[in-house]
Amino acid sequence: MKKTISLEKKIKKIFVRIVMFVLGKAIQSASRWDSIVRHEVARWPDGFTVALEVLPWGPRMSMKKQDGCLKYLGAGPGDVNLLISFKNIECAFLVFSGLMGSEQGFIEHRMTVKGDLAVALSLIRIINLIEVYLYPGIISRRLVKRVPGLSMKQHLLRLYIMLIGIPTGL
Amino acid sequence: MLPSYYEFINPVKIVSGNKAVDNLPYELDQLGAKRPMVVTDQGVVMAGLLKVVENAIADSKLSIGAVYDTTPPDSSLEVVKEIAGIYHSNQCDSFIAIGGGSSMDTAKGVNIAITEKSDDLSRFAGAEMLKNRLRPFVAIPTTAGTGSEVTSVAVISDTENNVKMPFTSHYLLPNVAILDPRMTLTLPPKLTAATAMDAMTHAIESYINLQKNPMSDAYATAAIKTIQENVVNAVKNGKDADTRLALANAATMAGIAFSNSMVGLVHSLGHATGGICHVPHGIAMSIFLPFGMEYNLEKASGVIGELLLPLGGSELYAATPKSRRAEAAIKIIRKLQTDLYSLCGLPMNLKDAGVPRNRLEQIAQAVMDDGALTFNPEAVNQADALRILKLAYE
Repeated sequence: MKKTISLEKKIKKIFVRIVMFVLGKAIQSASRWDSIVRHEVARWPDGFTVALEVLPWGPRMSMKKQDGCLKYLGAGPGDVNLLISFKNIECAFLVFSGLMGSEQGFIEHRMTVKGDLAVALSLIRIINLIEVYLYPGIISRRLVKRVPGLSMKQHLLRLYIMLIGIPTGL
Repeated sequence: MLPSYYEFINPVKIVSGNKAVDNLPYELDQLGAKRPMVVTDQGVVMAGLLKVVENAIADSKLSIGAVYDTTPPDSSLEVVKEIAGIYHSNQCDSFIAIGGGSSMDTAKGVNIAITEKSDDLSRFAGAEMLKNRLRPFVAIPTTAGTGSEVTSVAVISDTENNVKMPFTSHYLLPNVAILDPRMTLTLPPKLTAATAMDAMTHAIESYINLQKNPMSDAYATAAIKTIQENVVNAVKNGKDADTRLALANAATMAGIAFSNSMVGLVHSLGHATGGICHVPHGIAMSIFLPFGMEYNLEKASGVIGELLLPLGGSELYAATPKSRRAEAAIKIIRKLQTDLYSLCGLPMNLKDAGVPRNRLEQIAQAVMDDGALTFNPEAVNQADALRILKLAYE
């Protein structure tokens, strides 16, 4: 029987692919300039690779620790040290559309983790912070347990990530 | 209220009752096993508990392929490798793990090494890294606390690199767990209290934290009620087989609960304190439990209040206004702490447990690396953890 993927799922896949790009670039930029993200990444082994994918056929994004920072690699290599797989596009859409926090997604088994759990939790903490940067307070309060009070420097960094970090990855 | 989504698994067959160990040959036969390997420790041997198992096997068509009876308190890669060699050379085909968490975890580690035909266990560390069904595995707990007989987790130390490697996979769930009161009758009072408080913490944290679901709630509340009703008597009168069996069942129920809804802050504090200052896990759980409940009051006072029913009974629950139930539940845990301290000297604070004050900062830092924090209702940062450690100090 011929299988037909619904238009709704196709649109969700495109949406998730775009958000993965934005998230990847934002994390790459934050790993250069944000002290909290740098502190998290400092404890990852050098050359460590991580990918987020949607089962069974993607979309997919991957990153690598390089020179102390995280580099966004697009869909990236097949073999990675840490693989976080969303069980289906509906699970991924919940998390990537801001309807559900990444931590809640993990708690609700929306994704599986293959690899070092400590690094996976560190990545979730990084994504939490990026969500606070990217979303207005009214949304981020639903996504993370405690919204940290941002300093003036962090507010400027937030602007930098949105205006320069995401388009250029710098 | 139902969670928007949850998952629950417990395929472990529970065999519970007096002389339940005598069903071991039947259960192994059902699993197609003929030459099981026994993994246990010297404490079990000295208490004469290995004999109980050997007697059961002797009167059957099975034969024990090998016995490894020197499992250390901390499972390690070296020990796993050594046992795997013994398993192979004796042509064993299944496992009987007898003991506490260490024997169970070690046997689970060996089972991974055997099934995956690999000396390098680190390849399978982490979550859901196993792809193959493991060899038949029967767990016979000799403490009523860890719940390892029904959990999908094993922790093995890599002593060379000084790290503890967690393995989680539903393949690590044993096929059968046998709860026989004979296996816990000789547990000393202090160890009985500590392991029971470990089980109590599993149940309470699984009920409070963010991955709770109706199935785990049912197991958790049944476990809490059973522990509360039996722990003091088990400490006072260790030879009471009914009480021992009740506690063994409670620990297993708590294990099923937390294996499906995870633990939280109390375990994070306990893991860090145990890792740095070698405080036994059950003692750490007993010390931190009321502080963990208090810390979560703002986010979870409703569910903590619900625990007053299994902890205090229906009359106290009905007589306590809803707004006061959470505090009343915590008060009962504190009273239990005091009772266990006076009965068997179970430490009530970190100072009594031998923790040097100057290690608190280091412990607080280690807390932040513990995965259980993810499931805790309230967010926790290093300053929060240090504050709780100071409160629990003396």
